[in-house]
Amino acid sequence: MFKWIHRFGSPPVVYRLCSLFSPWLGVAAAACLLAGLWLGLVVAPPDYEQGESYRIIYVHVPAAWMSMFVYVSMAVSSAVFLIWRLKVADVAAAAMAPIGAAFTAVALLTGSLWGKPMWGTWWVWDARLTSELLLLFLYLGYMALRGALADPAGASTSAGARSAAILAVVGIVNIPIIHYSVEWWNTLHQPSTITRMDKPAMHISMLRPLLLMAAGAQLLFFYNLTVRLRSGLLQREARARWVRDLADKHAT
Amino acid sequence: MSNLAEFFHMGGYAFYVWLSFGSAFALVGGIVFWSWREWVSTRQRVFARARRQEKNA
Repeated sequence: MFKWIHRFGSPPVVYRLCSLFSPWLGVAAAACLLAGLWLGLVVAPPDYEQGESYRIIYVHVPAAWMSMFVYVSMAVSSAVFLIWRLKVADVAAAAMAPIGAAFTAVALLTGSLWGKPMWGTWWVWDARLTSELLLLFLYLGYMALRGALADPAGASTSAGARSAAILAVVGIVNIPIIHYSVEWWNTLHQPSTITRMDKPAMHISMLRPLLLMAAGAQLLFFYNLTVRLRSGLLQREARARWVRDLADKHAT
Repeated sequence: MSNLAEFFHMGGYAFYVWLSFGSAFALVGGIVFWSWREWVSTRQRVFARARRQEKNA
């Protein structure tokens, strides 16, 4: 197990895997998102209660799902870094933070833009909204902490990496709070429509674009990860033998 | 043409719908684009330095 982790945690192996998967992930993400946009904005019928405004669901729900998925990935990666001292896991966690923060901001913004016409208010301090806002602050705090403890050249230090990783791991308590907030408290936000035990309360013509947008967002996250992970590894390992070999190969 | 106008009108919810899709495109797309540019410039810089070191060694 330990050997396996170190083999697949070795920077040149991870770099090569990222280079291999990156173009495929990028193309697949674009295909899913374009198909989802077409089906969601043009093909799907308007909602009988909310009219055309319900189409905001096609950005709001995938962004909200991703805000939590990315955070869990970041926390798990940080835990692996803290436990096994695996450098790659730290580079990966740092690479995930910006797009996670972007998804969270989008979930909050689109929620607000949906709330105004449907609930009559941009914002309420209800449990779901407040815990999602806290998630945004966790992402921003993670990035700020790394930045504040970086060395003068802007590279992350071991103190910065460790404290940010601890913040990410502790912050994971917020994830079940976000998920169950609509059940634990009486909130203005509706309970979930899709991930119910019985069949989803949504017609297939409206559900299909949502699932495509969600798959597209997921693929886009992994595509972005392969790009950012490679930047991070090159910066961190600039003096390593494998980077010099790669530089030679790149020149020819 | 009126079909297209109707599409952009979004049943009166144009402002909310298009601002939602637009902000998602700007924020997530912005991070994706910025990450890609950062990678291209990082690769160029790190590889150039690695090659210089190779020559000096």
